[in-house]
Amino acid sequence: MNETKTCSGAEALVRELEAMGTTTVFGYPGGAIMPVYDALVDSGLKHILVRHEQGAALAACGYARVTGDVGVCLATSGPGATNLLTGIADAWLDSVPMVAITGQVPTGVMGTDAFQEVDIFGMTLPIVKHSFIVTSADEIAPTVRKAFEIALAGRPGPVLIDLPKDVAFASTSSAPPELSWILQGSPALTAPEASWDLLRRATVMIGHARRPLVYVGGGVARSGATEAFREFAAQLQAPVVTTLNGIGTLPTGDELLLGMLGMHGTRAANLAVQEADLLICLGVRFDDRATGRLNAFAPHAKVLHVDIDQSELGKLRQPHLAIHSDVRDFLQRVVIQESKAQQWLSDCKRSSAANGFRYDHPGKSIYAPRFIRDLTSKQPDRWIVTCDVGQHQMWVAQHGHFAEPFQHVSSGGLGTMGFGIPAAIGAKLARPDKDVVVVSGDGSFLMNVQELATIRRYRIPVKIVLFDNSGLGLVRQWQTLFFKERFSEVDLSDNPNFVDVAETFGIPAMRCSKPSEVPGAIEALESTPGPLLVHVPIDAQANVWPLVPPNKANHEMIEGVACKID
Amino acid sequence: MQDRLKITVADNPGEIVRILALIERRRFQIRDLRTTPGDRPNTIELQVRVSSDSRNIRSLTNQIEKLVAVHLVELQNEA
Repeated sequence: MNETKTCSGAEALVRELEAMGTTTVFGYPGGAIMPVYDALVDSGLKHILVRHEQGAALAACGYARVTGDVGVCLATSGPGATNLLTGIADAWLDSVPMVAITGQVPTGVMGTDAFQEVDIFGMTLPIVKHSFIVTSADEIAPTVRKAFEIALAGRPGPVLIDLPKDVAFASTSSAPPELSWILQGSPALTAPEASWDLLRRATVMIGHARRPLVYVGGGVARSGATEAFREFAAQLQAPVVTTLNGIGTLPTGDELLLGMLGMHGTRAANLAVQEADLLICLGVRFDDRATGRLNAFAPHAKVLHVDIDQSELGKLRQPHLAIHSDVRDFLQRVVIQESKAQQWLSDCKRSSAANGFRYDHPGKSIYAPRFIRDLTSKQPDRWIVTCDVGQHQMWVAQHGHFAEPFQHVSSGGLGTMGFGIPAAIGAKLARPDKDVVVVSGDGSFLMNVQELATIRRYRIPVKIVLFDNSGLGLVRQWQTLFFKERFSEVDLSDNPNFVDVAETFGIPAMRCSKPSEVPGAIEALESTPGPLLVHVPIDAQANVWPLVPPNKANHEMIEGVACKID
Repeated sequence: MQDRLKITVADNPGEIVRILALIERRRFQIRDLRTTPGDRPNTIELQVRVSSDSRNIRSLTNQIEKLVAVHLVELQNEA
C-alpha cells in the first residue's frame, strides 16, 4: 500500500526522481522552475549547476551514455528551455535515454506570449520520443514514472516534461503510482523477440555465406548485448566492422575487427563491405556517414538486419531478412555454426594489416593520431574518452584504443560541437571509477568553455586534451578538397591563449608543443589527481584520412599525406 | 500515389500535432484530414490522406506506430 502524503507538485517531482533511482541532475535555475529548485533544497538529489543549459543537457547525455541509465536535466522556461534543444536532439539521434524537465509559465498565461514563454513542447516534437505538458499536480508523479519508462524502453531516447509554475506550486496528495502503466502495448516500448522461424532462416542465411561481414552499431551496446555479441562473433569467425557508435563493441586489436566503416573508416573495413556477400547488420541504421552513396553500399551483399526499432528495417536498405528484435535476444538465441569463410577472414585480416594506419608521419609537429594512440593504448580499459566534433573526433575513432563501448563517447548522429566537456562532466560523475579525458579541438572547445567553471566548482577530475590547429580543420579540409580551396571563415588564428583560459577558470594547464614533450604530457594526464588541460598545437594543414567524398561509394575513398611535410 | 491512413491516438494535448508534424517531416504531404472521437474511450481517430513522390508508405506507418500515444495505424489504400 502506497503512503499518501500532501506536498507541492515540485516536491512530488523531486520525490519521484529519487524514487526512480536518480542521484544526479544537471541544470540551471530561473523563474518558472524556481519551485523545483526550492524542493531540491531538502532533497537528496545531487544537483550540478552548469553555466549554460546546453551544458546540462549534454552532461545528462554523457551520464546516460556511460551508464545506460536515464540522464536528467532541468531548465527554466523560454531561453532556458531552448538552450536544452541541442542536447535533447543529440540524445534523440544517438538513442540516449534522457528526461528533460522544463519550467513553464503558469497555465493561466500559457498561450499569451508571456515573459519567457515558448512552446517547448512544440519545438521538441521532432526530437523527443515523447513529451508531456503537466496540467495538474496530481499528474506529476505518474508523469515522471512514465517518462523514465519511455526513455528506457525499446529503443532509448529523450522525453520532455514541461511543468507550468502554478502546477509546481499546487498541492498534491496523490499516492506514488505503481510502476508499470498503460502503454505497454506500444511498439515504441517493447523489446520484441524474434520468432524461431526467423532465427532458423538467419542461421541458414549465415551458414550459406562465403563472405559474411558483421556490421555493428550502437544498438548492440545500448541493448546490453556486448558480451552476447562477443560470443556470437567468436563463434562465427567472420570479420566485423563498426559504426562510430559501435566502437568498442569488440576491443581494439581484436583479430576479427577491421575497424570503423564509412566516411572516415578504415580502408580494410570499407573494402570488405564492398566485397561481402552477406551483411549481418546489428543495431545499425544505415546512416549516410557509414554507407557513403547508398545505392553503391555493399553491392554484392544480401542483408540480414536486426533492430529493436521496426522503422529502421527497410528504411534505407531493403533487407533480405528483417528481424524486428532486441539485438541481445537475437544474439542469445540464434544458432551459429562456425563460418565456412576462413579464406575470406584471412583475406580481410591481410587487407587490414596491409592498410593499417602509419604513425611515422614526416612532419615536425605533434601528430594528433599518434598522441591519441599513445594515450589510450597502454591501458585500453582505463579511459573514457569524450570527443568534441571535427578532425580530432575522427582521429579518436580511428586511433583510440577501447576495451568497452561505453569508453568511447562521441556525438555521432547530431555531431554536436561543444559536446566534449559537458559530456565528460556527466561521464565522470556517473563513473567515478574511470579516468575521463575530453579530446577537443580549438573550434569545439570554445563552444562550451564555460563548463570549465563547473569542473572547477565541483572539482571534477576530468582531463582535457585540446588539439589546436588554429582553425576549423574539418571544414578547411573539405574546402580544400571540394570547394577549390576557397577558404571561408575557417581561420581561428586569433584564438585566446588556452592555457591562460584554463588557469583563469582555476584549471591547471600545460602546453605540449613538440613531439618530444608528448610522453611527459601523457604522464601528466595519467598522474595528475585533479583536472588538467593539455594544450597541443598541431599542424594546421593536418587532415583526416581516408575520406570518402560526398556521393561516392565507400571503396572510392581517397587518401593524402597525413600532414604538411616540413 | 495517395494513401489513406486511419490513426487511433490517445486524446492528449499535442498528439494530433505530433502526428501531423511527423508526416510532413518524413516528406509526405497531407492532402486531406478529418478527426473524430475514437471508438475507444479517450481516443481520437484521424483519417489522413497523404501523398509522396517516391517514399514507401510503410516507412511512414512504421514511424507513426512508434509514437507512444498511438494505439493503431491502419493503411486503407486507394488508387
